Amino acid sequence: MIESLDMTPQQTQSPLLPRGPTLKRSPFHPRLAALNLANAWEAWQGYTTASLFYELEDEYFAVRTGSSLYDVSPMLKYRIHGPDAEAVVDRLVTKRIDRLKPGRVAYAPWCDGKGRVVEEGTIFRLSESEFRINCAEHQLAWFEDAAWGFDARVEEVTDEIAGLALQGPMSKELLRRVGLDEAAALPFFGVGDFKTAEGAPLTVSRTGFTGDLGYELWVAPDRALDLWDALMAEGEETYLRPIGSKALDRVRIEAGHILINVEFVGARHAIRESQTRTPAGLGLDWAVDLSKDHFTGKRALVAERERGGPKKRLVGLDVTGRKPAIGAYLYRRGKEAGQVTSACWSPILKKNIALATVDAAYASEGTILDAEIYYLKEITQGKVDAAARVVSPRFYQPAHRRG
Amino acid sequence: MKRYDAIVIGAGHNGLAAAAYLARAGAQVLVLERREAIGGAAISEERYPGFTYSSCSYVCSLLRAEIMRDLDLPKHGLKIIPYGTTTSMLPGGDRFAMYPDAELTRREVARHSKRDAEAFDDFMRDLTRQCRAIRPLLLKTPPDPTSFKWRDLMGLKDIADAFGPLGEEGLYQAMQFWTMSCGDFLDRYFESEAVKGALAGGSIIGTALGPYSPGSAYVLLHHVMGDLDGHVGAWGFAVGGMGAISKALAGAAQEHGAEIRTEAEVAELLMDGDKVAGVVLADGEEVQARTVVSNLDVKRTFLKIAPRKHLPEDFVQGVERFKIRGSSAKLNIALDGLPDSPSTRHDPKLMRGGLNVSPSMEYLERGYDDWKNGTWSQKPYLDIFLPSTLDRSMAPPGKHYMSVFVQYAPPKLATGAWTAADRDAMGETVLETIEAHMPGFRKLVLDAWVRSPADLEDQVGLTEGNIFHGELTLDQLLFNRPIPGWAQYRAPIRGLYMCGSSTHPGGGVMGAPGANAAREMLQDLKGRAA
Amino acid sequence: MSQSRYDAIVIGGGHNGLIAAALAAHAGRRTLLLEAGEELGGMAGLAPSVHRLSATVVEALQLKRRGLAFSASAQRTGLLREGRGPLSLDPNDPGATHRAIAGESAADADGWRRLQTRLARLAAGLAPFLEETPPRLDLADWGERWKLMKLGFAVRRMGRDDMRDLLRILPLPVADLAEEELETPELQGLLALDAVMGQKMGARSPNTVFPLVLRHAPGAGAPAGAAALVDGGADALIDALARAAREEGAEIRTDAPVARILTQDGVAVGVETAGGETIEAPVILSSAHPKTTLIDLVGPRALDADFVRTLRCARGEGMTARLDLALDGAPEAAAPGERLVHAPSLAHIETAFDQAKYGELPDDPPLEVTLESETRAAALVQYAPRTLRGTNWAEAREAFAKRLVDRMDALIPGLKARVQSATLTTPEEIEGRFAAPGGHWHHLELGLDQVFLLRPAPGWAQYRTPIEGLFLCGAGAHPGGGITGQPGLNGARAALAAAKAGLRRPASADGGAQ
Repeated sequence: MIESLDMTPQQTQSPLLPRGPTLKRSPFHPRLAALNLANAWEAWQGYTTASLFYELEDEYFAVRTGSSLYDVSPMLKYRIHGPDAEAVVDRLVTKRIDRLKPGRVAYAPWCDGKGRVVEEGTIFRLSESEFRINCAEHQLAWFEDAAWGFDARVEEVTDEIAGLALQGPMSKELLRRVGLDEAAALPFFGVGDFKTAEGAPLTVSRTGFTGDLGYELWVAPDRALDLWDALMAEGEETYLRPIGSKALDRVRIEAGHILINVEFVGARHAIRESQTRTPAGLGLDWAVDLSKDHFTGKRALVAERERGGPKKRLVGLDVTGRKPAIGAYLYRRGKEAGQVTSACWSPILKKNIALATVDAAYASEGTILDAEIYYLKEITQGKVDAAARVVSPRFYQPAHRRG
Repeated sequence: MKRYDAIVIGAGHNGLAAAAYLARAGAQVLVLERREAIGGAAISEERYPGFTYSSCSYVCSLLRAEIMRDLDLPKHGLKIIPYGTTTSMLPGGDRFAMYPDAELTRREVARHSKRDAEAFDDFMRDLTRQCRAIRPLLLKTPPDPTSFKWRDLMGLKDIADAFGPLGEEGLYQAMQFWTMSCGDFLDRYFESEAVKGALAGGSIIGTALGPYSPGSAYVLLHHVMGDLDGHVGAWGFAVGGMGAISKALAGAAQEHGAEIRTEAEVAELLMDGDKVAGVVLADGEEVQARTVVSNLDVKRTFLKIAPRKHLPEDFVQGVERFKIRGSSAKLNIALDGLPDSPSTRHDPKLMRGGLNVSPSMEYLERGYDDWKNGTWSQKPYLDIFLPSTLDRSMAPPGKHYMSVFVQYAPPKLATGAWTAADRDAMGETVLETIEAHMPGFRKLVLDAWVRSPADLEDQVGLTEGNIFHGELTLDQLLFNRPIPGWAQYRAPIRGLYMCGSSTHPGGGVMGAPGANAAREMLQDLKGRAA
Repeated sequence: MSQSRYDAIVIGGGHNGLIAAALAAHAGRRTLLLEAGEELGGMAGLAPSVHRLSATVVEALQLKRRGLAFSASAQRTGLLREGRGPLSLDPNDPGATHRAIAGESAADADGWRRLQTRLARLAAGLAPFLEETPPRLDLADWGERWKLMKLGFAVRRMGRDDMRDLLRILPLPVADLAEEELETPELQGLLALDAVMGQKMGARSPNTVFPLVLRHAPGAGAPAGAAALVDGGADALIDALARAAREEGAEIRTDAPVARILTQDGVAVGVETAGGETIEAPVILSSAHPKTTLIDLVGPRALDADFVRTLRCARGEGMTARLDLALDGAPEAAAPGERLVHAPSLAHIETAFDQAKYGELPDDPPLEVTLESETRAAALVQYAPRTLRGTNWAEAREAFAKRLVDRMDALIPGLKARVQSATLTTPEEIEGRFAAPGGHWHHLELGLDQVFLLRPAPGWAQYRTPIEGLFLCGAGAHPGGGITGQPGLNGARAALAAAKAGLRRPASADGGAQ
């Protein structure tokens, strides 16, 4: 990985000007930089990552109608291995891991002892005794604590693996075109080891953050550019575009995927207790198995269920009008009922959609809430009151994503 | 003869803050300062030609934003520039630097321990939570927990309201924070000695405790509960040195009509029966006032100025027992150029921030052992700054002013009182320690003004040289500060008040004791006028 | 593999375990006590005397009827002075004590007496805290709020002056209190050593007045202002407690180490002994170290990871060793039953602590020597770190014991000639013998950050554990170590109350015991 940005001669001469490492660059950076005509970058876990390459709509429709590449190298990756690895992961997360077979992926949250979600991520079972967890925040200390007392090791392997999310209805076709037919045939939430046409080892998982048909490809950093070039070379017929985080954010809202520090604050970082959520509060009840062996937070989650569930819940909203309900307060008969956490106009659904956290009393589908939406009207703040109907947050779930 | 509403004894920052608040409310105020210049320990002095020294206190974070706004200090010339980084210079040229940017800090911690890089987030979260709970209490008068008076019960409720939102977990943590040692506390999070050592510096500054002495975790909290422009725990330089803060406070006080007299030492209180009637100056002049508030520490106020016969015996005993242990020394150094350190070469910007010698917990603990044994630390903790890197008014072009805070130095040595030779020897220890971390440094030294705790007592009037006007230990905090039962700024003599750092919420250039005392005085003045 | 079933199993046959077993049996529960060692008593045997036994325990178990007797006189203390005879403090003869101290300092003669009364009064103020199960700081729970308010009122009942005094001095370093109240170095040293004995604290460590006040908490059979000694010490107490437990119907097995606490669906269902025997019971009371109980016997698999981390962070590094001397007769300089203290000054204690805190053996450790009989003496050695720097106990043990005997001979002339053998019990051995990680006498340090609501871990001070049906009743629980019997009493009461209210049973059998 490249440690720092280039220094200009002037900088090195002036003794008190900042110098030294700034953001790290992903192994794909040379290609991304060449394509980033918008020159729009942002920081993601200490890496430079593209917000936008050229045009948001173009990138968005690549995901929904063609194929897209998003650099997920900055994602945190942890390897947990050893004779007790299964027990460690099973005690860590809310899902049953003893039933997760090698070659399969599970998505699950993990909680602290109070049942508050620390984070969520994908768990690859690479073999009987080896797992990989991918997530958005640093978790080494948490995972090490989870593995303490067990015969298993935890290692952060973020910088050892470059990752590329290949997403979109034509992604399967593109994989076939670069000779990865077997990878293309992976079942939904399957993971496996393959070889690129050049013979480089490649791990592919049938996972993604877009709600569409898609894969994530994982290679050694020194093979990253070869992989990129191979895919781009065949991309013409599959409407392949590199995409930035702006397009990704829109598609993930459509898919109803929650984002840490947007929909909730991880239990280890929240300064205010009220900003944390239990899995049920995030609509992740389905990923929690309260009948399994002990896992961290189980007692608290059982108690929550016995109390009748969380006080606040995450819902989807179908909002009238065209103005995205970003940060909107929600009311029910004049009483504050919750707040929108993410919102966008969905070009594929032609709907104004949002994710919101509302009091549990208003969380049932069909409830109509009043959204107070502020938006910039040239130089003044405009305000509209829109009706927001509570719906499932899975706004866009095309059948082909599993196909 | 003029009769003032209030006389403030001592023009330190708290005295000036009290004066400004009193004058702003319409009171006739006179501030009397023994020395030729105002400021007390928040002072800028030119001792070596062309250099401005922040000769005692040297950085600013704790000064309450409310006070800056109430008194409009920026209008009176106060500018505070955040300095951003703090770098622990480690042996062999390594370093551990903390940046305002979380990601850069994470990378620095991770160089020492990957695990600690994450623990750092947990640590900052817990610290921030506790700071949020304490902050609302800083500008409040501590309640008397033994009283059933309405205001005391409400005061207890304020405490409950401040800490309540912490939730069960946070409340336990608060209990631990107020009772644990900084070392034990850090051990819960971190494994790297470099990281722990750097963070523990804040737990020993100005304190006669070691990093493994229970109670030192609170001192750490005391040093991070300030904020600058809303950034929790951020510190900065006052442009023109710390004297600029006193100057701005004085400006605010004078704008509202307060008078300030320097070279006017108060010898004793003027009494009218059992009531204060004013003060008598060292030259015999009498000045009359309805109330008197002392910015001096409690020992000076009650053992030197206030008439003992008017004080209850148990109160005097409490004052005598009040712990005000000197533990710090200060060097002000004029440099012929910018020093160089292998610890900052990769990023010279770090020179603009704090530079510490604080390499490990044991280093600090052994420094404390020396203090206990009646000598200055043979390997001292140093908190070094070059304010002239951000404020060019502090030194002539091309030259730099270096402020060095030294922990630990005892108020008295095992061999007896401090002598000039002792002071030189301590200075030598410090200069050599700096040289070891900044090779070539000594060649740049134009002037090095060494101040032992005894010097701080003699010259600045800090009893035993204690920078906080009294130890920040649980037995001397909140409703115990300075003395149980006397934590509401009033002295046992009618009309006499305290506004120095001996009172809640304690030391640091915070201004809160002054503001709080003024509020209590105004309440009484109003009550008496009515 | 034999199977059996009880209503309650108590782990550990120290005084707290025996009390818990006796109380459970008394409540009509079929109770089994399992002790790992060959003999009952646990760490109680390390204490040279028993003087703070809870009156409630004595009453509840009718220990007096069961043969427990209290000495008519309180223990005398001799402050050793090199080259001079000891300064003798005899609580049974206040006049003599006053005269003896007055020989050193007239002010201290009164000051000492005043301080003893003051400490006893403050300790009495703390007493309500010791008898209670600590509340939780869950302010949303009005029951917990009420308990907190009740404790607040209890403190207020002390009166304004005592309350202020207590709030100020609890967090003080004992050295500060000693210097405020006394001027005789040996008296200052005694005060400080009494405060820090058994702990990893020096005379100048803040919060050390707290253990000192605790030490003055009234014990059973105590004349006002003095501690009541149990006749025959810990051995007699353990005998009486074992008798009580058996008579109440508890079954006691020694040589029966527990290998695992069996849980199912987060519920304790029994234990498995080291011999492979499974014994079932819905209530398990452990007087073992909290870390041993939860981390070793239950195991992390059934616990939350952050809870395990919190528990691991609990501090309990042993700093005290015991030296046992077999004598062929009492040296002339000492009388049996007397406590001889070598702590000539505050600085002396602090210097020893400063060495020990870095893992070094002090040059001249403070000592508390008790002549238990004509032929037996025991010395508590403060400080002896659990982990030595640059060496280990196997290497350092003999030389240290020898050095101690030489030192004691200088302090108690003629002692060495009487010594037949000297056996040092180090914190490392205490750790191994009593399954107490760290080898701390109180299991966990009695610091203000680890008592009351925070003992053994914040939020878990109510004797219950995350495992339903598993309760703590040892020194690691509130109010901590020292032979008071309070944790055993409080723990048993909490467990019995919970059992009566109804414990959750495992939801399903398919979770499997593990």
